[in-house]
Amino acid sequence: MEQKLVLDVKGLRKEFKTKQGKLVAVNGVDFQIRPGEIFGLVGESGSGKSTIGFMIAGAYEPTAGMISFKGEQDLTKSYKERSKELKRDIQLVFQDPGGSLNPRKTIRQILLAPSQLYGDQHLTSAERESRIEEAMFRVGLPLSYLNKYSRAIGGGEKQLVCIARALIAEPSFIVLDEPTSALDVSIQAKITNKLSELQKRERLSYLFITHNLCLVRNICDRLAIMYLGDLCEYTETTEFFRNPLHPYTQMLLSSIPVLSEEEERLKPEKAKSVGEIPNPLNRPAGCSFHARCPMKMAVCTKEVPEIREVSPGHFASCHRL
Amino acid sequence: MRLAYLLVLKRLIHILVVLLVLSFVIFAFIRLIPGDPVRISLGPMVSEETVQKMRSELYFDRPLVIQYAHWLKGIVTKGDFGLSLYTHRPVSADIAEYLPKSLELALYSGIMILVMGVLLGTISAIFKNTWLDNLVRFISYLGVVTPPYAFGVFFMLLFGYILKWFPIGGMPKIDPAMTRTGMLGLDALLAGDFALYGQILKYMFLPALSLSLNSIAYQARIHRSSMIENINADYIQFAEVAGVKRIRLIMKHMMKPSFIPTFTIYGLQVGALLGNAFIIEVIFRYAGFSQYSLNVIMNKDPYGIVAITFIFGIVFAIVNMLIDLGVSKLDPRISLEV
Amino acid sequence: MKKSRVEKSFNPRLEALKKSWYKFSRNPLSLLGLSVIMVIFFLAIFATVLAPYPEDSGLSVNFTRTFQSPSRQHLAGTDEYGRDIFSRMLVGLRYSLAIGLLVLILAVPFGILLGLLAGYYKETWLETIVMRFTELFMSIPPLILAMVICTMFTNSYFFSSVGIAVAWWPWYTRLTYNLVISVSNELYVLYAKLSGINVLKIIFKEILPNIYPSILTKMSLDMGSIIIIASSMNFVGLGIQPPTPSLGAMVSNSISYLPEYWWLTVFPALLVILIVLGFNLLGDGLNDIMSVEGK
Repeated sequence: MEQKLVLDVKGLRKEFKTKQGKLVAVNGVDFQIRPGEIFGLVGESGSGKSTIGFMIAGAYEPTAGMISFKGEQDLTKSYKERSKELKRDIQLVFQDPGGSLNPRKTIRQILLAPSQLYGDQHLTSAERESRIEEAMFRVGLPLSYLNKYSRAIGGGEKQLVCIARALIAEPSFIVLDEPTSALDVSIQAKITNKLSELQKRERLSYLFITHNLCLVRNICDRLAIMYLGDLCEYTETTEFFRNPLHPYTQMLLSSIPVLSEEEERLKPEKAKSVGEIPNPLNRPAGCSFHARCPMKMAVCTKEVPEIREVSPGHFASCHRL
Repeated sequence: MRLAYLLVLKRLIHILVVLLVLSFVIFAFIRLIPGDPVRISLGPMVSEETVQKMRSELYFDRPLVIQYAHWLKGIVTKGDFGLSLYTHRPVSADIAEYLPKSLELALYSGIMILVMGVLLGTISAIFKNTWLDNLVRFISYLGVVTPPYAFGVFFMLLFGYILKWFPIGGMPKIDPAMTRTGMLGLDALLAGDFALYGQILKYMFLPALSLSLNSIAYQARIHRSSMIENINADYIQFAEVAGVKRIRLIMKHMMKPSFIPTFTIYGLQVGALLGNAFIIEVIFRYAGFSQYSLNVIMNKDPYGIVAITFIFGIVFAIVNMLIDLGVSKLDPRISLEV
Repeated sequence: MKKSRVEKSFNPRLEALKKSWYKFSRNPLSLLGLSVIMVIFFLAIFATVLAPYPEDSGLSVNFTRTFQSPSRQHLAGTDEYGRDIFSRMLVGLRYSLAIGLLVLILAVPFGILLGLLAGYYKETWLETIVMRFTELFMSIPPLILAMVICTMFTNSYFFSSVGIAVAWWPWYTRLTYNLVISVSNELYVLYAKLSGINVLKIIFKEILPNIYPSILTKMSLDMGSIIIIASSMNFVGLGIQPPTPSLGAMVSNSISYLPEYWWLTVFPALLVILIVLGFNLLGDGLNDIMSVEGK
C-alpha cells in the first residue's frame, strides 16, 4: 500500500520583488500528492495557487522550502537546471488555451515539437505522425484538425490540443492551471470529463488548480484551500464537504449556490462574506484571514496559526480549532 | 511640479552622456577620413611649415584622446567648438550666426505641422467617410509619399514662377545694426519694423510649407485615426446618448485624449524636419544652419562636423523631452518616472 | 492510413497564403500598389534595354538637341547636354531601387538580430548594452547621421547605402525589441522554455514567426522612406556622382533652369513620388492582411 509520493511540498515560499515592495505570493505551504490522485488546489485569485503550479513546473524558483518529485528528484530548481527527463515527466496546461498555442503554427507542428523533443530520436516521420494521430484520438479531436492553424479553432478544442501536447510527452504528472476557467460552461464539463477519463485510463496524477469548488467536488480526490499565500485547510474531498473546519472554507461553502433543499441543509450555517482578499504587498499581522473572519479572537491579530491535524488526515490552520 | 524638474534634469544628463559618447565616436571616425583636412583647407600653395603649424594649433598631431579632451575643455570653459577649416572662423561664431535662422524656420514649420495636421485630422474624423474625408485622406496620402524637395520644386514653380505670389528664394536684406537674436523675424519685431516682418514671413512661407507638408500629412492621418478611436469610445457614446452637444463633445471631450498619440509622434516629425531642412534651405537658398552644416559636411571640416552633430543632437533631444513632458501632462495614465 | 495520406497532400501554408492573397486582392489600392511596384521593378531591371537612348545615361553630349521639350522622340525632354531625360530616369530608377534594397539588406538583419537578443535577454546586461548602443544612433536625425557617415567614405552608391543603413538599423532593433518583449509574455513561449526547447529554436521558431509580419510591413514602407533619403542625399551631391544619373541629383541640378525647362525637374520628382506611393500602398496592403487579429 505504501507508495512513493508523487509530490511532496514542504515549507514552500515565494516572494516577488516589486516596485512597491516585497510581495509574498506563497507563505510557507506543505502538501503531498499521492500517485494516481487528482489533487485540487483551490483559492481566490491572488491566493498564490497558480504561483505554486508555476514553481512545480519550473517557471519560478521558490524563495524557500522544498519540493520533491517521486521521492527523489528536487523540483526547487527552475527549468534551466532540470533534466530533460524531468521536464518530460511533469507537464503543464495553462488557463488560457489561446495564449499557450503559437498562432502561427498548425496543430501538427505544435504536436510535433514534444515528440521530437522527448521521443526516440530514431523515429521515422511516419511513426511520429502516428504518435500525433494517436494523441488526437486520445483527446477526441478529429484528425482533420492537424492541418488547421491553432488560431482557427475554438477555445475548448484549443485546450484539448494543449492536453494532447502534454500527453505526447507521456508524463506521469500534469499541473492543470485552471484548465477550464477560460471556457464556456458547456465546454467546461466536456474538458473536465475528458481529463478525469484520461487520468483513470493512463494512471496519471494531477495537480488541479482552480477557484471552482463544484469542479473540485466532482473530480478531485483530495484538496487544499489557499488564502493569501497560506494553506488554511487540507483533506479528502468527501471529508471536506461533510465537515469544513476553517472559517474561510465555511464561508466559501456557504456561498455555493445549490439546487435542492437537501443540499442546502448540508451547507454550513450561513457565514457572511465580508471584505475582500487583502493586498499581498501589505499582509496583515497574525492570521492572514482575521480581517474577514466572523469568529475573530484577540490572538488572531497577533499570532500566525500553525496548520494542525485536527482529525486523522484533516488539516486546518485556525486558532479556534 | 518638482517631479517635472527632476525629470528634466535627469533627461538632460542622459542626453549629455549620449552626446559625449556620440561626439567621441564621430571624432574617431573623422580621424579615419582619408586625406589631410588641414592641407585641403589651406590649399596646395601653402608651405608645409604653415600646414604643420596649423595642424598643431588644431591638435591634429596629438593622439585622439588628447585632441578630444582639448576640444571638450574648449566647450566647457569657453563655449568654443574649435576652428572651422571651412569658414576659417570659430565654429561657435558660425553657430551663433546660422543656427537662429534655422530655428526660426523650424519654429514656423513646427507650428504649421501641429495646427494644420490637427485641423485636417479633425475635419476628416468628424466628416468620416464623406467626400471631404476622402479628399483629406487622398491629400494626406500624397503628402506622405512626396519627398520634401519635390514639394519645394513644385511650389517654387507654381507659387514663385507661375503665380508670382511668393519670392522664389533667398532672404530679405536686414540691417546688421538690427541684429540681436539672429532670428530675422524676431529681430524685425524687436526693432518694431512690422513691414519688414511681413516681408520676412513672405520669404519664409514656401520653405516652411515645403518643410512641413510631409509631417502635416502624417499628423493628419494619426490625428484622424485617434479621433475616430475616441468617437467610438464608450464614454463618448455615453455622453452623446446623455445629450451633450456634438460640437462641445468634440471640442471638450475628444480633443484632449486625441492629442496624445498626435503629440507623441510629433517628436519624430521634428527629427524628420531637422533633416529635411538641409534640402529645403538649399532649394530656397536660405542661409541657415542646415545649409552651413551641409557645406561643413561636404568639405569634411572636422570640428564643424562634430559641432553640428552635437547641436542637432541637443535640439532633437530637447524637443523630444518637451514633448514627453507635454504628453505626460495630457495623459493622466502616464506618470513621470524619475 | 489512406485518410492520412489525403491530409498530407493538403498544404496548410499554401492554403493560408491563398487566403491572404484573397484578402489582399480584395483591396484595389493594394493591388494598385503591387502593380506599380511590379512595373517599376520591370523598368529598373530592363532599364538599359528599354531606354530609347541608353548612351545618355553616361557622359554623352549632343549639342544639336539641348533643352528639347517633351515630344514623341524624347518623352520627358532633353537636358542641357542634350541627353534624353526619360532614359536617364530609367537608369536613375535602377539605382534608387538598388540603394533601397541594399540598405534593407544591410540594416534589417543586423537590426532584427540585435532586437531579438535584447528582447529575449530582457533585464540582463545584454539588453542594457544593446539598447544603449541603439539609442546612441537614434539621438541624431537619420538623414544627418547618414550624410555625416557618407562623407567618411568615398562618394559612391555603395557607401551612401552604408551611410543610410548605419542610420537605419536602430529603428529595426527598437521595433523587434518591443515586439519580442510582447511576444515573450505569451504562454506558448513560456511553455517552450519549460519543455526544454533550445534558445535558438524558441527565438527563430516560436518568436520570429509572430513578429515578422510587422517587420515586413515596415520594410515595405521603409523602401519609400529610404528612397526619399537617398535621393535627398543625391540632391545635395552625396552618393552617386555624375554623370551616373540619380533621381535626386537630376532634380537639384536643374532647379536653376526653372521655370523655362520645367521638365528637367518635374519628371524625375514625379517618378520618386510614384515609387514611394507604390511601396506605401503595398505596405498598407500587407499590414491589412498580416495582422492575425484582423481576421
